[in-house]
Amino acid sequence: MRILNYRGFVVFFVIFLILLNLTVVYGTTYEQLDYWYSDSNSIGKWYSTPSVGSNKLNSNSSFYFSIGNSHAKSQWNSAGISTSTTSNFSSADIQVYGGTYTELQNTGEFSSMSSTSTGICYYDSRSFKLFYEHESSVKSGYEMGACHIGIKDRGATLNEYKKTCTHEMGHSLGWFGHASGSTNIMYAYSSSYTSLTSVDKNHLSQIY
Amino acid sequence: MKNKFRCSLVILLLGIMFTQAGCSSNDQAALFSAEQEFLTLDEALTQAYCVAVASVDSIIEGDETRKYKFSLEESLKGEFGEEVFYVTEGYGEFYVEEMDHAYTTTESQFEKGKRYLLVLSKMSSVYFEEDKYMNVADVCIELDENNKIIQSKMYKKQLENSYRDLDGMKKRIVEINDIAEPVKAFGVPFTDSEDLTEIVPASQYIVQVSIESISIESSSNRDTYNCRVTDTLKGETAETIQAVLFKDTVEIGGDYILLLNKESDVSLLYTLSSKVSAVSLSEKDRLLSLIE
Repeated sequence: MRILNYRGFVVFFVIFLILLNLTVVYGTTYEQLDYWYSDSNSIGKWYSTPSVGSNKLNSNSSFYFSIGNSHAKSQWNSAGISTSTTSNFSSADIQVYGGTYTELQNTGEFSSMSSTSTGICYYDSRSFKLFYEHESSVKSGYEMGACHIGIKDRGATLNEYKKTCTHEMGHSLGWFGHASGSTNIMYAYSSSYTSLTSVDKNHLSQIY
Repeated sequence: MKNKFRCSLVILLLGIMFTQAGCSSNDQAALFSAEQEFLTLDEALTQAYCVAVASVDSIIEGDETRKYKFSLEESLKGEFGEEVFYVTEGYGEFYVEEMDHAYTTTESQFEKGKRYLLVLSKMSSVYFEEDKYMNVADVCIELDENNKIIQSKMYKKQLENSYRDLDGMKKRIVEINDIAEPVKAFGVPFTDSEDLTEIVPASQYIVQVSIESISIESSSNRDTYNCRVTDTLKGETAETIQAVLFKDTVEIGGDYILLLNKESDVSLLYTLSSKVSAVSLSEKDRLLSLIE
């Protein structure tokens, strides 16, 4: 017995789509945010503690990659965003590579990196999760997935590596975009600051 | 009836697509965020492997990178192997230190059919199909048919004050070429030969290894493996090394002979000295005779 003819099916389906979209647009409740310091309209969150693996691709003793990484993890931990450390690099949620431009390129993971890049964070898999709202402005919230970071061995100082590592790890933890003040770690441009400010911390920790 | 079924299927798929689009964010998401050193235009010209005037033939969009096919008009610095070459850029956001200058490459930087002055780095790798050229900095200098600079992005003021047009740029490049050392391409040496008699002398290290695990599984044509060195035929290595091998050319637990190079003495990453990824142990005696 035919319950629905072809025309009926199409009309039913179109009505279904309209109702579904109305539900999405008007039925969504936005989580309210207290702070917004980024020039981006997006933010990300790991819904379970991400594991971090590091792989230094050379033994250059003046490339302070390991110290920079430890510093980065402890800084974000102090903001209430914890990570775990894994020795199994290939299974890490956040993979941090350190090496020269050539070494990073040879891994096959940094094909877009230019020779003048000092640090880079790739978002391998992030997916839209929910909307947030801050002072009537709607922000997109993402669930973070695997990320990989490249820190270039460039003959920099210890503090510069600390800043670069902490900055890139911030991106991998969901801090999209950049902050405006030059004392902030998530400021886009170079500085000698190595500690997270309340701007760096509050922006991200409020959603964790 | 069949047509009705097909129409219904198309409507269903379109409906799912529209619904998905409605549920996702409107952000044009960049695949990465990168911080860059600031270079003056003089520094960029000095650090560049090559500088050239070229026009865009085509733009090829890939999953991770975009490639521009350029036709070379005039080389001002460095050497190009061919008249046609490819410039690679990723889909990302760049932040240039000291300048407070940001730019994105999620949209293409160059337009098809237009002429540009290019300031490029070059990387040669055994893993690449062709040499890879990339912009040294945010240099995107568009030229008209009279060699006037139409558009120049980050270096606009510097160009207007110092160089003005292509002739001004050429004079400066000649001055830089006279005082600066030639710039080397990035990369680790390798040979195009697949003949062991030529690969052996081109290899710093020849080792027998047991493949223990994958250390870096990349989205490209290669993976990096943790290898335990069981015999050393040439050069000296640590007991365990990381070697970058073409995908699916070895098995975990397998024993192979690898012919390798690396970038420097302190590098821990060994790369192939030719496109021959791993050699069977049956070739060991032949390799030993070639080493002697």
